[in-house]
Amino acid sequence: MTIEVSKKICMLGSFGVGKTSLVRRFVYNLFDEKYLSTIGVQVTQKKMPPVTLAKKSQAVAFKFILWDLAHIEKFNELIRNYFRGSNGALVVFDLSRSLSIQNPDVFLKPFKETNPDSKIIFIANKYDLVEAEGPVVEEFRQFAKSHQVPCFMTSAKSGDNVEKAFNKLAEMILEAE
Amino acid sequence: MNKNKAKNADAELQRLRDLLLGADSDFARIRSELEHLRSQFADKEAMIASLNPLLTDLLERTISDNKEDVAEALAPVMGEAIKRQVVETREEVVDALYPIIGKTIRKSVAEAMSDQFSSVNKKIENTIRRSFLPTWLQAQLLGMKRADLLIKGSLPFRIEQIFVIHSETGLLIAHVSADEHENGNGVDQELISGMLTAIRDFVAHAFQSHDHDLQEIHYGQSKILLDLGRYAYLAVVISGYEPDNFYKDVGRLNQKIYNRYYRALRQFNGDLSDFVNISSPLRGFMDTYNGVAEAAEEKKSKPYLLYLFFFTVFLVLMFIGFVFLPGYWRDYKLQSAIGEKLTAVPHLQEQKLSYHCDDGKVVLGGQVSSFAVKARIDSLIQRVPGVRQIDDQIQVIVLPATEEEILASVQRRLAAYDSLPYFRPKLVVEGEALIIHGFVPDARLKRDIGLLLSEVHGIRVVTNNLVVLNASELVEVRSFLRENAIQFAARSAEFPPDQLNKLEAAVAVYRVFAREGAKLVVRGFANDYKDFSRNVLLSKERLDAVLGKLAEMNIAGDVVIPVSYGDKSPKLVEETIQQKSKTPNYRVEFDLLLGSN
Repeated sequence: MTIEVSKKICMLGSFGVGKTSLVRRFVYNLFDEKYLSTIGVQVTQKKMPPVTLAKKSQAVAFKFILWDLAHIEKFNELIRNYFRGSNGALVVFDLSRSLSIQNPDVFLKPFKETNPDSKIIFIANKYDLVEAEGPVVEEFRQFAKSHQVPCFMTSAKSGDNVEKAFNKLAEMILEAE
Repeated sequence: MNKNKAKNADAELQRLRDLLLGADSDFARIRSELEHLRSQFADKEAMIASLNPLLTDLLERTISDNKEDVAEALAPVMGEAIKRQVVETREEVVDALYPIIGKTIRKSVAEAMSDQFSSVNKKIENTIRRSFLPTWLQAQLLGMKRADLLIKGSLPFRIEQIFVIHSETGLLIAHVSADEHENGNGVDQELISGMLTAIRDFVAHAFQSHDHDLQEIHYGQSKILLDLGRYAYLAVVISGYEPDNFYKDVGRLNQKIYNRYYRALRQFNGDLSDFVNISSPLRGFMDTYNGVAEAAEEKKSKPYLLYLFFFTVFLVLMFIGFVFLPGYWRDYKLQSAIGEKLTAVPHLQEQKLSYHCDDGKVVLGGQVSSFAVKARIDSLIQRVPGVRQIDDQIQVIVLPATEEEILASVQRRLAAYDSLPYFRPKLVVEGEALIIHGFVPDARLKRDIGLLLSEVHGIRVVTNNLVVLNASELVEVRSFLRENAIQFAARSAEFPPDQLNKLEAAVAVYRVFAREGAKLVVRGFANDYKDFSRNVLLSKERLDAVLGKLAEMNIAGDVVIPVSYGDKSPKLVEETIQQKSKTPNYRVEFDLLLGSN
């Protein structure tokens, strides 16, 4: 028997990094070149395939409730409310832009403070726009390593690694249960 | 040569001539056809008639194959044309459309009004039925008019959906919808709960209202009521006008859910398996307000006539039960008790009896063999609890019986008393009278035996001469008689004159009991000699001496039982063998035998 468990997942990242595109690709398998900035928050859901861990007898199928948050300029209590109760977060970066202007600390620190047990994955999006395994990619890998967070090079446009990143997050949450 | 040239030139000329003249005739034909066509074209009706089938077919095919293209191509032109037409000739358009649209609108409005009236009627009915207080009293208590109260209660209202949402995560815990098949108009309930939570958080943050929560969201004719609990909040989507106390009821529902699931709510991690049956209270709440329960009840209560019939039958049965059943039951129990009482008495079963009870009155019938039996039956039944009256219709039929039959019947009845001590009654039958003599240990037994014998078939009168002699009295009497034994001189059988008073005392006692059939036992003893036979002879001689004296005192021989023991009866003289050898046993003693044998 499979039990269904809902998990709240936050999509974090600067404006235009492709959070909404990643969600659209993951949930609906769609991509649109048009850019529409997210206002506030947008909630979607995706049922994950059932997983059975060796140490657990029952199969678990996660239902990810994805909270796609708008760009966070400055942290405030409203953002904390949005974070509250999250089991995981995907922090999205744009590989075509410099990492130095995509400071994740503004939201990553409060997110961890709010949800100390939650799992985090870094996603370097727009992989299709940069040289494969080039210096930019290497720089990002080092950056993720410094934060001790697993990272994935994804392309919402092509769909590369998108599913993998979400599956990894599901696995990390399940292991921690 | 020249001739040939001239011939060729003529032929060419002739061909040219033919050509020219032929063209003239063709032109003339073409001209006439052209004129014909021109005249046809001028006749427009004929032209349309001829083209109509072709064009219709062509247009139908084109539209059918390219609907969207045709619509796209025509839309701007048609739209503009229709718009202009409507503006310019509004009245005509209205007149043209009225028969079609007017009818449709009338029908639609009529249906909507009908639904509304039906809803209002049902609501009024429910409002009146649901409350245990009369509406006028409710109106008084609320300080409003009764009509206003009824109208308020009858306004359309419906709960569309209820969400139970985890406050912190915004995850959906439970959801019910008024329409079972509705799924939020295609919007995922999870998304609604997430977005509602986000909106709640936004409002709280935006207006810095940490002490107050978003309680309502209005949209169109509907609104969402939010009731915040400790760990979860309820979002109730309603349409219409909510009744009084609805908010309080939503709060109570939220509290109910909290009370039932507070552990699961506190530890909620997205697993809904801990919230089994959470939909039940939500569904119940929704059905209560949406009148589903009333509708079901109403549906059920339609067979009024059938209910009325069953109710009438029930009332009749109850009436019969209340009026007749207790009496019937009482008589049944009384009859059983009488039966038990009669069967418990021996010999009554032999009688041909019948009896029945009617409201405490016992009617006895049948035949018995004696008045005593009849009286006894009356007496027994009188003592049964619940008997109000006895109607004794028992016939006494005394059938003649021989003395042997009577005695046999008496003996059979007295067999039950065979084990009684010294109960050896003497029976005398004189015609239809029975006389009984003897001794019984107590007075009650004497009465019972008398009654018993009075029931003997063929007996009308019983003379009960039984004497009550209890065991201790008998012992005393026998002891007295033994103490008054006659003592003889050694080796003498001559009655000693000084012993006469003892004999007279013994005879006096005996005479008391002799009337009731007792017998005097006289026993002679002797151990004067060492020879047994001489002792036996001497004891007989002594016995005879006493019997002679008894005869002088008119004690008949048949009531005396003489016994000679010699010296071999220590048991009767209560002496041991050793004592016997030392103590002289020169006596004649008396004893009493109660009974005929």
